[in-house]
Amino acid sequence: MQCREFGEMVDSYLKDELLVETNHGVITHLEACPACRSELAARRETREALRRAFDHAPEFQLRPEFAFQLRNELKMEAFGKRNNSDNLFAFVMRPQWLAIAACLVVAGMVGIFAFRPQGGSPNELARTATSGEVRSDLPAGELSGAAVRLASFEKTEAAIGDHQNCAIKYNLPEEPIDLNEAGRKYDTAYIDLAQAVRSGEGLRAGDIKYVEDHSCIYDGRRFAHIILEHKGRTISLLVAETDEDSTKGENADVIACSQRDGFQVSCFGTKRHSVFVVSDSTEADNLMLARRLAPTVTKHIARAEV
Amino acid sequence: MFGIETRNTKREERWAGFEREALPHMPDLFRIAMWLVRDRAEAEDLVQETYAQALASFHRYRANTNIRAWLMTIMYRTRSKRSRAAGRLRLADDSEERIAESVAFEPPIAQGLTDEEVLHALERIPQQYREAVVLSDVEELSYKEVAQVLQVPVGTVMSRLNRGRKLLRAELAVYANSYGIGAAGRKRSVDAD
Repeated sequence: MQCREFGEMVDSYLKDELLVETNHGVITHLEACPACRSELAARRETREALRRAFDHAPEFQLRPEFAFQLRNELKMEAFGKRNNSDNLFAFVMRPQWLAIAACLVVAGMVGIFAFRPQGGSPNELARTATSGEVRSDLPAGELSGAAVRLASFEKTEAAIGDHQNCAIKYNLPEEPIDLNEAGRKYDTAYIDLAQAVRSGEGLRAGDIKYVEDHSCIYDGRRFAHIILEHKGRTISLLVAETDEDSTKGENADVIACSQRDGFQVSCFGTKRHSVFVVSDSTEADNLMLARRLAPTVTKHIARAEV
Repeated sequence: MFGIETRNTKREERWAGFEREALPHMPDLFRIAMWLVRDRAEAEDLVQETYAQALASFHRYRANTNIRAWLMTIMYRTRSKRSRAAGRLRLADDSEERIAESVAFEPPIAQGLTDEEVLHALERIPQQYREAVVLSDVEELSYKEVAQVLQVPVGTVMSRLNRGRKLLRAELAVYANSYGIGAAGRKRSVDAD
């Protein structure tokens, strides 16, 4: 293979689109050609930098409210239930949407600064042995069994993944279903959960706003998913049934259990459920939100577990 | 009665297919729309119109082809139509080609730069090149799909990609040089800490 041929194939090689034989030819050429190796590295680096920039830019992120609203409008259109074809285009221009959008852009800009590594007192940021990124606000060594169970790496990863792919990007392979329907089919704790949260103490002050609720699956784990908004930021309250019963019953502690890619996760639990609050707020804000929501959620789930 | 049931079943099937195939690409469509128009309300409007048109002509979509490329094509055409209506269509000129030809090769330096700097560098290259680069390198469309979206021949896409990448590297080099090699390295190590 000559350098010219490599140049023609490098895109397909990077996208993993070449046949096995051709791929082998490219690799053989790369082993012998420092110039093409350098070109490949440059191409790869530039692609990655571009993708990273597009993925991270707050202004390029889709508003979940817009995604849900558009889906509903399109569904009505598909079933011929809309009376006025202009409706589809009218709702984005409603002042409240524009105001929310403006808030989100501002919040996103603030988020860039919030994402930067922040300090914390040793007590606040004590790490558990579960994972380098999974942590608790309890001092190390004082974590209860339930706290360790809650803070397991896989569960918090799934919670962050669901928040990113469901609440933020609306990018789940399986369509979410109605929360009460999921309650009847899979987990009775989900029945009227959204109603309990909406009428509970946590939302009474008015600064936390209810956006939407449903049940969705991420990474094989079913969640009750209640989407809220606080200071223009999207908050996910996620409830999942645990794999095993906790002998200690509910974990009254609300802990800051994980952070990744700028997202904070606070957790609490009941006998058979783990609850996660995920957002791109600061750690202190996210923990505060979780603590405000915890009493209502814990009480509701515990009643279903009896 | 059977006619109504058949019609409803067809609608349900069509919606299920559309929801499964087309809707998951909304975040990708939005970010490209936002990148193109730079205004959230306008970008949402563009995405909305794109999806409305895609739903109306979903029967023309061929299963197992790249639906993202199909949606992007609809979005670009919608945008062109709007731009023409607003008298904002910008035609490529020869001077851009000459600029691209005169750019020397620059070494890779993107690693030490912030996301913001990368986006600014991208902004500085002519639109026809950056569109090809973004559709290929960010959205991972094939040459043929990029050609379909931009409505130009495949050869033109290859040539724009080649020049666009050179220009982008040159712009990235400007940012990297402003740090200096040592400074860029120091910045990376500080970030890692």
